[in-house]
Amino acid sequence: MTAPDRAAMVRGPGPVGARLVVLLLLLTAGVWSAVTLDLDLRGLWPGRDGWQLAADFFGRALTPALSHEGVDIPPGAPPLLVSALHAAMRTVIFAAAAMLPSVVLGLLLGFGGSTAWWASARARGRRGSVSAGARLRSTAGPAISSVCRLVSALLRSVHELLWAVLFLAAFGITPLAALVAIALPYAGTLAKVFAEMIDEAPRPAAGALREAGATPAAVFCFGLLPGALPDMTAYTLYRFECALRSAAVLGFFGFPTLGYHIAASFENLYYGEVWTYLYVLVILVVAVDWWSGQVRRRLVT
Amino acid sequence: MSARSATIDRLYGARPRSRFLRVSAWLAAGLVVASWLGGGFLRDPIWTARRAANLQRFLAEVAPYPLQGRPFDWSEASVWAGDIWRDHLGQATAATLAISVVAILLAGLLASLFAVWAARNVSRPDPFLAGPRAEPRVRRWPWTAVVVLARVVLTLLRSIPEYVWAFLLLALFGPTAWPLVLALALHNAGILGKLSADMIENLEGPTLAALRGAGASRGQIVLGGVVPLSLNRFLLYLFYRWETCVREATVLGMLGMVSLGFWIQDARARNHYDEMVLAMACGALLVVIGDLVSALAREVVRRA
Amino acid sequence: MTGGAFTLADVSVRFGDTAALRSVSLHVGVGELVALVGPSGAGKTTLLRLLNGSARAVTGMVTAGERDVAGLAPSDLRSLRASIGVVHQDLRLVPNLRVSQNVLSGGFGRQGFWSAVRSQWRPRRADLGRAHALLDRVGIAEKLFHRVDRLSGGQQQRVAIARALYQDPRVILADEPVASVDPARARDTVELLRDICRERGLTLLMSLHNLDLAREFFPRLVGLRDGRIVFDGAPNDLDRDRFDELYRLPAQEVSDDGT
Repeated sequence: MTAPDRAAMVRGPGPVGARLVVLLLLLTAGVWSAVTLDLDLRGLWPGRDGWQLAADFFGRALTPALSHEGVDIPPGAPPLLVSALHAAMRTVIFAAAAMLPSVVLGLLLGFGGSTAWWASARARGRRGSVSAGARLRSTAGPAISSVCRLVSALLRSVHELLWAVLFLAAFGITPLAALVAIALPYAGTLAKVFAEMIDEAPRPAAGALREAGATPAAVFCFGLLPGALPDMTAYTLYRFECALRSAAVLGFFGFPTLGYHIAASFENLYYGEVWTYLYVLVILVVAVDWWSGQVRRRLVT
Repeated sequence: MSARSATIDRLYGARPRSRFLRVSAWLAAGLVVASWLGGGFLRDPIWTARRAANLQRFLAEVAPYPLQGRPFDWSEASVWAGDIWRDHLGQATAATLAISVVAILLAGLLASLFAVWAARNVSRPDPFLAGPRAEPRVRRWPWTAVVVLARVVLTLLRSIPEYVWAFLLLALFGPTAWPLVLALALHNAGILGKLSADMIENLEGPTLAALRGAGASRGQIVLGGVVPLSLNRFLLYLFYRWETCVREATVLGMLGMVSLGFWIQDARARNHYDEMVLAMACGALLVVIGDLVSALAREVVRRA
Repeated sequence: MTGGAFTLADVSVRFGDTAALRSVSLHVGVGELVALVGPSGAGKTTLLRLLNGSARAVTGMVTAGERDVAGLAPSDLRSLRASIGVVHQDLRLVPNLRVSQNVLSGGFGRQGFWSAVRSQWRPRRADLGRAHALLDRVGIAEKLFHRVDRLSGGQQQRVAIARALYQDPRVILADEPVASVDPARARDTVELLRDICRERGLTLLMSLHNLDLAREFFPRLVGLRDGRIVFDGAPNDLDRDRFDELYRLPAQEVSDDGT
């Protein structure tokens, strides 16, 4: 073995090597998965019925329905566009209402799960005398943030639709159950990301306030948090965009959001109506995406 | 003091502030309050005798079937869970994982194909070389059309949830794994494609312009410059999205196909809540393991 | 509570294996204006950090006023720090808050949490008046309600000075406040800090890279090199030989130290 070879072994795989290993592992996983699923490329060739359906369905993509397609429209039914707007409104209502508890819970778990509020007390404790509060924080801090991280991991490990199924089984269909079903996993995701953002926020200002004798709570709230807030706001808006999609999908479980109408129209073979509802959803999502981009741009600079 | 007070009032009145942010904050607050007031979430009584009975029955049925009405016993419970695992849950968990892996690979492939066309610094007559105004309008507009088309397709892909894609594709392909795989792949291709296109637009211009200046073709620039420069970030995004793929793959089976969701739906239909919760727990465990693997892989990529 | 005087008695500080200060003794009286000069890595920053208890001496004693800094109870350390304003080279402001909020955060050392919240959320008119007066003194009163990240580098530096003054300190510690600004502005800032401290009777300790500025504006220079005090006296006493002793670069430092 030559000297450079040995040196390479000591350093482990170089930059290219590590990436290559990851890529190869990914491909291996892909092959295993295809074998496990018994995936057959011929399955991607829809039968004659499938082609007919695809032609009928995608044929309406550029001509979404502007009024009901059915022959026997029940008397008193609102026009299609009104019903689409109404479903869009219900979708927004579900999403917006669910964001309130998930942001509150996400902030609590996120603050608790971050290391920033106790790590500095711990470091100072190793150097010398500290106040009783700092001692408490440096002993209880690691435990509290572990618990917060665990809870948020459990909350987000169950999908919002599964929470919904669970609540439906336990309580029956209520709008509140659907709302809580969205709010719980979203709180878990927000908590995880908030904690990361707080821990990665710039520290110098916090150090300066501590040096001027500020209390730890004031250092956290006015030295550290302001640096993380723009990112936290932008991420919350992004989660609102996701919540719109989740709320729409809840319609498949009987709630009157866009998904309910998409499923109903598709099953009635009213493909034009399906596209109308799909485009309404797309418009909602794009609007929120644009909004969050604008807010972010103004907060950061 | 009063002169100073007046000055402070004047400065406060003239303070620079963003009307957009103010309106946004009020709009967001108003939206949330109106949703709570108008959504009727608290209209039904939260706690009724019927709900209490419902909950009690549910909790009784969540206990493993052989143990219902008896004190809990770990060994019997694990025998029960092991039987169900061997019977179908193990296979369904593996299928869920497999669906997520194939889907994210397919999504990555689709996204990288789209991203190059959606990036405004590649999709132009002279990639990376000249400012937009230096190129004649006639040569520019076909490329602008390519960018717009690619971005519109990516937006459509990403705005429609996985569940809706799966629902639509199920009718097309029938009950194989393909509708699930494709649904996840399409939605995530939309997200990854947009992220990657934005990333390519933010790449260091000079390196790539140098390649172009050295006479490299569009394809050579992409392979020799864009891919190596953006591979790390792309892999990070890929693993982040894979985490959500695992979550979603569990659920999509509820539409009637191979993943864990199929058995969750099946157990729910039969009112076997013990099996339903067991299947959900398998899904949750898979998600947690997936998060750990992804965090590990991202760390490796970040160091590379 | 410091009264504004400091005494270092035979103080040594180590970080791991490297000695930052080696048996340094120094007395600074109330209202004295002192420039710490010397090459980078000489221990100027460490000396400043000792004075407000941010760094600890391995041997020797640091006294602020009458009291041993290392032996202070946490609440006494807090009130010591409240009476010492610090201006850093990198400013350490909160960029996305307004100037008023940054300046008022200088008062946190004497405030409880809720009073701090109030000062950020709805400041009292009298507090705003004080902040405005200080900003007026440093020449940027018009920027009271601007966001800090929209200000120029020089204006931000003045915000940092106003924040330190808002503490109503007895002492200002300035750690290389002008190391990253252009020469004309550096001169203005050093002069401003010196004048403010002189007119208010504050003790000023400023570490400075630029010896010319130190000689021009300070009656007393303390020269540090390799963690030792090699010069302590009036600018006129710093003759050619002493200057060489302070700044002559040994061979290995030439390669390490590009600044």
